[in-house]
Amino acid sequence: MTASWLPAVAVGLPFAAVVPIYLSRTRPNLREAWTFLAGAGAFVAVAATVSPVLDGARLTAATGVSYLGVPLALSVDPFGALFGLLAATLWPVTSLYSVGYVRRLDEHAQTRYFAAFAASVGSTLGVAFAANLLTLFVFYELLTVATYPLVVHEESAEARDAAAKYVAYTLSGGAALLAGLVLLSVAAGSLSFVPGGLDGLATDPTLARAAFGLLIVGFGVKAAVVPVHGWLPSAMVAPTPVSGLLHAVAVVKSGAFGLGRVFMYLYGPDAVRELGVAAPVVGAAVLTMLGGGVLALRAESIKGALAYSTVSQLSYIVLGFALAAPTAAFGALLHIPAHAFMKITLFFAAGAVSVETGAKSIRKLPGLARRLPVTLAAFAVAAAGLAGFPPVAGFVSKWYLVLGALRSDLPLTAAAFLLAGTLKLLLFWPMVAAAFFEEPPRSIGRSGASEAAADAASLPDGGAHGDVDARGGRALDSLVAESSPALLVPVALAVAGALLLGLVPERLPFWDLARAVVAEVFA
Amino acid sequence: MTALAAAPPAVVFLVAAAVVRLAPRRSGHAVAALAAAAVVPWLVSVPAGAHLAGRLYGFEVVPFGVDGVSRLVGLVFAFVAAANVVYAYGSGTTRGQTATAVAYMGASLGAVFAGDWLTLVVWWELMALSATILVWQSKSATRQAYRYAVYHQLGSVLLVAGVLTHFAATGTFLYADGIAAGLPRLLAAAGVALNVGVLGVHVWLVDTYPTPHVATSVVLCGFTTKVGVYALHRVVPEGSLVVAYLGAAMLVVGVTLAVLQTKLRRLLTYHIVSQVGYMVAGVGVASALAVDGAFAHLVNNVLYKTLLFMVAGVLVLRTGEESLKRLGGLWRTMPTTAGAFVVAALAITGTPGFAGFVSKGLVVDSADAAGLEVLWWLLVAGGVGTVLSFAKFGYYAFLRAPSSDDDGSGGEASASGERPRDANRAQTLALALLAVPCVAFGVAPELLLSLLPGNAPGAKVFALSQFEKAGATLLFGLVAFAALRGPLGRISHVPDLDAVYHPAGAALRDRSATAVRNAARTFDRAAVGVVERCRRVALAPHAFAAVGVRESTLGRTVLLVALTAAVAVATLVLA
Repeated sequence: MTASWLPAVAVGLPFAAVVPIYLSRTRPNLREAWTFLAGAGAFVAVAATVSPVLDGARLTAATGVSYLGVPLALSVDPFGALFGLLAATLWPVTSLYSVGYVRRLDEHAQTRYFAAFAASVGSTLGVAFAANLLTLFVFYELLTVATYPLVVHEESAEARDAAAKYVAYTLSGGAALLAGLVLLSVAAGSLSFVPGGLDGLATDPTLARAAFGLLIVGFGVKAAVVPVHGWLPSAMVAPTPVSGLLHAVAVVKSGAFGLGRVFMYLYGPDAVRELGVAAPVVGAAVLTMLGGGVLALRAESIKGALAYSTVSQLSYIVLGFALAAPTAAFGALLHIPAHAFMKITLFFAAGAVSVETGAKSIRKLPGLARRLPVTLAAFAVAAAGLAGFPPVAGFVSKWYLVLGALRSDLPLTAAAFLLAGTLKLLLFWPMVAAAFFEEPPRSIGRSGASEAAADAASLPDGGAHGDVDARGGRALDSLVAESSPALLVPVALAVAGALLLGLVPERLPFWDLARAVVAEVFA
Repeated sequence: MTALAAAPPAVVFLVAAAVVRLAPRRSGHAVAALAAAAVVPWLVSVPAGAHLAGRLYGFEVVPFGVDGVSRLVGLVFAFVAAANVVYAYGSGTTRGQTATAVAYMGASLGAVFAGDWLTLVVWWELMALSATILVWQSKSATRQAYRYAVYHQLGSVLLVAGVLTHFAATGTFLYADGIAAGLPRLLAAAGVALNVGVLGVHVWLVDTYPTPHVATSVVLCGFTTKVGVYALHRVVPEGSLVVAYLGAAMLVVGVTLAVLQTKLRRLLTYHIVSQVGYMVAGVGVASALAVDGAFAHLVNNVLYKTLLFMVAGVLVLRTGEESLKRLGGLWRTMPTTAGAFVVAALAITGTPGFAGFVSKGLVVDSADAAGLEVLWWLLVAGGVGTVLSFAKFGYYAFLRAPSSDDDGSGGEASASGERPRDANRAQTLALALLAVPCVAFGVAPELLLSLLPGNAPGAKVFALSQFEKAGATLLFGLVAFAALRGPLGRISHVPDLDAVYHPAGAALRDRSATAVRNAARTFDRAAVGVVERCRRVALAPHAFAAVGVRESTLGRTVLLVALTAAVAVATLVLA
């Protein structure tokens, strides 16, 4: 336990950026610069914690404030570093995308947007670096408050309803969380995160189980576990960068992170097994994985499909933790960054499509790849990853999750992972095929012979008798109007991340951090 | 580590695919064909062993493992890949289509040279992915591509489950004695069986292969099922009677259904099922002779089956017709194509002097040597059926005079009324490239036998009994064709299991999606209703007084609820 200013800087910088953002509201470029400065600073601070943490140090920062004997303090351990690194890496990328998005659409209230974004990321980092459950709870609720302006950004009736639903769900979850926190503190006498779980929980099983149930419900709301997932699909009314970072990465991953803390650092695998509390969570996770995957098939908008797919994918992580076995937990820890990069690519691509062409519905997809080839290629790669194809990140985490399930006490749950992956294929392949291989509804300017030849070449009989002179040139150059760089670069960065995590995962810090978590929890 | 083992050959193919996509069409195709051809001598001279051993995703892997079987399969894949690229150039594919095809063939090579299950699974998934894209690129076949993806996903799921349960049982992915017996073996074999096209799950072949661009069919026909056979041997190296008889069933049922087909590529696709049956039977018997026979047959089959699909492709491209009933008399205007057909047909029917004679003899002999009489009869019967169906193909497409066709549509041999031209230069080169080994391996079988892993112990290649069997098969087959030509001519469409699977699958998907959505909606409405009710009560308790609920009653109820909750909490805390 070494005192360090790094966690305080990492959490404090995003919050500190809120004031300058408001002060420079009349000068957009300066205002955006504060976001990027804070993002760079937070990233450097978080990245600097990784090596010491892997060496075994625990970097702490106390605030001096405590409630009823429980201090509000920050501490970086491998699990926190993994989540914090993910959030800190994706915030600058999302900020670049946000700039492109809000300026292209000329959104109102941009200052409020960027300020709330910074506060949300700060809260997320606070959740990651919380030293005990009380601190985590404080930042968790702050996250709800900070994300509210983002969900309600549009200020339309639909947005207000969605935001009201979001707040109703998450604050109710927060109430359950508080109740569980209180009961846990009575049952165990402490709220600190201890690898392998707190001692003394088995002395009062009923109380421990009640606390467990409340904590699971509280975190489960943000982790979008059925039946408390209802806020996520309606929150898609928020602007796409918000859906991308927050509702596919920060908010939902906070819920999953909290569940991980409960299973590994508060209760621990042994207590979970003794108390027999894992079974309902396993059941709910399987239900969510499969139900979310099936519901996605009926979605009409692209973002709606992505929302249900998020619901389903998050329960991969929940199930991995709930199986309380080392390989399964490792798979879940790998899936946290893997899913984040893939899902963000998908959301960014969907947002670029909606900005550039106005298409929001799945029915508008046919032929779009002619206009936005790179964007939709990234979409296709990320979709392949979610279905579990190598060399995208989803293959590696799926591999470990299935292996982990087979080695756990409930090997049949492996079937749930494999079936859920199949459901993703059923969802995404028609979308990808429509975008790349179907004709757009109206002719968008056919450029003559070469395109006709290219089309003819795709028919079984080559489209003509005799030699087909397919010059095979880039016939569709004249139609390509790729997204603007501010939108395209983040898409490319995110998909590159997903590919790196799928090709050489051991070279990235997430791998070693996940290994460290498993080593200290399941020792 | 020698320079020859510096990288797996799949990498060469992937690079070549990029070149095809980016370079001008002619030079790109030339580079790819030459690269594939260069892989052949490379594979002949690379030393056997487990090369490039390392770690992938935290597990020990061998990305480039060479032994007798993998070398043999890799050689024929590389050779046929070169011919396929030349054919694609001549058949008017786009650069994207050829690039995807080269990537697909590269992934197949990757799977064959995998030295461990993890590498195999990775390349297996990439094969499925690239084949899906390849079929998609023939835009007329979008639904078939989707179904292909779904079938192969189901197969992958079973294979992954088998491989991971194997790892859970043994702790390693490296190839040892096949997959661990019991559940792992069952799962892995089921997953591989889908790729192989075992009866019952063979329908994806018939659904997908005849529909896309002809060059795509040519590429697809030679790879996925053969990688499946190879993988089956790795899964069950000591064989199994069940597998042997499954192979015999594939052979007999496949050839029967083939005889009943009237569309060119559909007929050939059923033949894939049938010929793969020989290989599966050999893998099932699994004596050294049987394995040699199975893989010799794989080599020959890739050669002449690709040749047949190329012939069919030229016919379709030149005449615009897929149906045998509307063709005829083409030997006059398309002599090269007809000649290639004759070579391939003689090879597939096992005529002495052509490739199939030797390898079929090996498989049939191995059944005899293992004492499996029923299997022996089934294999021989399948041979008769093969002769019958290729007699039919040759007769309808090439021999019979066009004006005497059965459904009276009369006139010229092609839909457009012109005399169709023969294969162009590139296509002819491709046909020739494949026809040469079909003859060479038949006339000088030592060329093939020397490459076989077990050196074919006990192979009596030129024994009199072989000629007798081949002669009898040919005779029976031709007589059967003459006798059955009339009735066969009246059949047009024969349904298969896909008429059951596809509607059932779609119904399952749609019904469950709708059911789950309705359940979710009901739940959501109920939850929102409860919250709404609470909200209204909380915000305006007086309103309820107006509806008849007295305030004192409301207050008493709230008090009661609060007291109950307090008692519960106190009990929990103090207990």
